[in-house]
Amino acid sequence: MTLLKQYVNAVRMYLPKGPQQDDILSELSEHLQSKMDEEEEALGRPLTEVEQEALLTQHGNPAMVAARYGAPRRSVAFGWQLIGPELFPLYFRILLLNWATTLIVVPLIREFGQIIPRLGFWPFAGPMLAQLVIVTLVFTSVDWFQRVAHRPSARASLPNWRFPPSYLQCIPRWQSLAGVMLFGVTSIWWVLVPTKPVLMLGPASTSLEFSSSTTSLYWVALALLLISTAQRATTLVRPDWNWLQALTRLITNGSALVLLYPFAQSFPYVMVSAAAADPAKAAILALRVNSTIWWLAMGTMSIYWLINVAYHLWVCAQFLLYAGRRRAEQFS
Amino acid sequence: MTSRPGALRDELFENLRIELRSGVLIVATLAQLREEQYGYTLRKSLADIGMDIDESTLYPLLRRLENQGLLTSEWREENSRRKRFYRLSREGKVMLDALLDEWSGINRALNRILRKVA
Repeated sequence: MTLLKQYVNAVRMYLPKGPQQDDILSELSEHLQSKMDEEEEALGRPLTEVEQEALLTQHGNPAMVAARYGAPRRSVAFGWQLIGPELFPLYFRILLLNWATTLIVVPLIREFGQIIPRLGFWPFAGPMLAQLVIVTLVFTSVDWFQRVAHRPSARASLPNWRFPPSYLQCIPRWQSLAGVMLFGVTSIWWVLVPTKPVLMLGPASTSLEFSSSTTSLYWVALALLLISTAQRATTLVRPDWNWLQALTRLITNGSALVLLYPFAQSFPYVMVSAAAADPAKAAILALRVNSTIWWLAMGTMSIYWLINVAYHLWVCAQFLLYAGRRRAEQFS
Repeated sequence: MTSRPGALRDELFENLRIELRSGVLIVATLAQLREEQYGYTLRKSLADIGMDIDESTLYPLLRRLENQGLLTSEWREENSRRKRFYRLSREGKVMLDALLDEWSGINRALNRILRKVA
């Protein structure tokens, strides 16, 4: 995809759907192409990607360009702004994608899953509410970070349409550091769980124990956690290795998705321990814990992994195309 | 601190300049479209006669004038590329004449005021 197409597609995201949308975009594309032609004629050679990028950036932020055509500038605010108009369209689409996937995946899991434990709440509501909270929190953080990192004037011309997008130009060090801390602590916790089940089961560890079917899953999960930690440690040192993040996340999320099958087969994950004081009570507790783990992985995490795989597949493909274009530009 | 009043004055001037130009730009655009042109050449021809207009202002303006029935447009191929050509409509011609009369009136009045002050 050319930079011009990327730019026009970014403007499309902010324009209301309708018969006028294509008309506006065709005219915008034609205008920018004419400008590029004129520049090329003046220089006597084709524009490099850097020059094209400068010309498109000069045209303005896609959100602002769309706003001049009367596009609504929607945002999420509760007294103060959580998600601004620049990020809102992406936020809204990702949330809808999450919810749509939930509506497809959850019935499939219920239909084809070998074990169908039931929870005491509507099976769609939990994952959908969790996604609303997670997606809103993520976008609020990104919006806040962008506002802190850029002055308002700079933000107006923020080239958020190009590839790699601004958040992938260089992985921010704070992001890698937060990842090292989060995945590092989680890895340590995971390593300690077999010897200290109380860390996962809490007080229930006196009457429950892990079933033997979870052993092989345990080691694969540990490997994925260590890979995630290593990626973040690497990008902390080399923030310019932006492709590593996309590739690692594609591998880890893809593996997690594949592991869902053996995970479903491994049910139940905890059993009543021989040392349980009240086996009948412990059996009810075991059913609750097993159901919670099952729904958390299948109903919530599976959708997160699925969307991540699709997104990072696209990002990796874009990185390859981008590298190809840069190489071609270098040799031309 | 010393640059602040200057910056404020510049900002105020810029706002007033935009207000002053916005109406004139409509008249200039309508007048320029007595001859058929597409957006890119229209912008260049306006710039050539000293009426520079930002492209992100021009296209929404053309769309608005067309929705108001003052312009007509058609997509045509030129140099193997599809371009949208604009032209003043019959209603647009009537409106342009009326606006030019109004402009002449304003101009005369303003000149009288300025002569009196001088």
